[in-house]
Amino acid sequence: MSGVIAGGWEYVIAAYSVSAVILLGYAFSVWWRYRRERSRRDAVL
Amino acid sequence: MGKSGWPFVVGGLGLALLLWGSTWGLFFAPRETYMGEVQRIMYVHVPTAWNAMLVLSFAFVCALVSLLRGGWAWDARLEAAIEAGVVLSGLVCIQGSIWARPTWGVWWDWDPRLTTTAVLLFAFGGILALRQFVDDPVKRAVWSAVAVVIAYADVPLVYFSVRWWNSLHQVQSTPETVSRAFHWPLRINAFGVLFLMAGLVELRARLAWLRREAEIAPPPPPSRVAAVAGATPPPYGGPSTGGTPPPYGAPSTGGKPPPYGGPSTGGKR
Repeated sequence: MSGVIAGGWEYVIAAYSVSAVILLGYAFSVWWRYRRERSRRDAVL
Repeated sequence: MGKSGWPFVVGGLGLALLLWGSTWGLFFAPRETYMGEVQRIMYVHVPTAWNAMLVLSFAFVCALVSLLRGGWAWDARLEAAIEAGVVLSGLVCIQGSIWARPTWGVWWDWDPRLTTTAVLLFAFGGILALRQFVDDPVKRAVWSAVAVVIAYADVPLVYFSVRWWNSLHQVQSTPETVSRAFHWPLRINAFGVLFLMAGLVELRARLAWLRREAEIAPPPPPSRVAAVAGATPPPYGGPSTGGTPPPYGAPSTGGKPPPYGGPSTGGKR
């Protein structure tokens, strides 16, 4: 027991992957909903 | 609410900064002495936590302005900030859990910092759900603003929990307690998340505004429909043909908006 964490890259990769998926997924979701709403509005007008 | 493209520019800049800061943090920042590689999670976890608190503080400001002055634009910003805050709070819990497993030996612990953060996530998630269930747009705006003011009391609890109670989570770091070698990836990613969320909150607010407009504006009279048919629609931001959502309590220019606290004239979103 040295008190030092050995390895751990799998956790790092998991954290960065989850962050990328959630942030990019949310960005895409906002853009897509906004685009759809504008199309609907333009169709009404 | 405007139509300019600045949210895309700012959001794109945020993504570029995140890519830069993460590459630096993953491949060029030195390995931490005790936590080893796992410490690299800090470069995404801490900026996410900072920005979650920031965007929820913005939601609090929007809620106060919405309650004191009224106005659909502030309600739209409030909706956007709540949603972004929920996304960031959820993400910070997941990242923290992934960090906790190798460092604490557990995925989750009912530690004061983690518990107050979970309360924050569920409180603001509940407010988002509340907005979905209330059909009357005025009641929705008022109720959710009041709920945000109440739920915001948890934000200082999250921040100070590590100082006030005995917590597994370490206390806040300062530039003096973090090695200078770790500063830049942390700062670059903090601005990356900030710019990305600024762009997304503005875009999400525009989306909420469009929905409110459709919800509140009365249908155009048949004569106008006939007149408009075949004509080019005006640019967004120009004079409205359908009716911009009126401010709370103000006389309508297009139709009959619901009075502040009155029954809804609109349907579900």
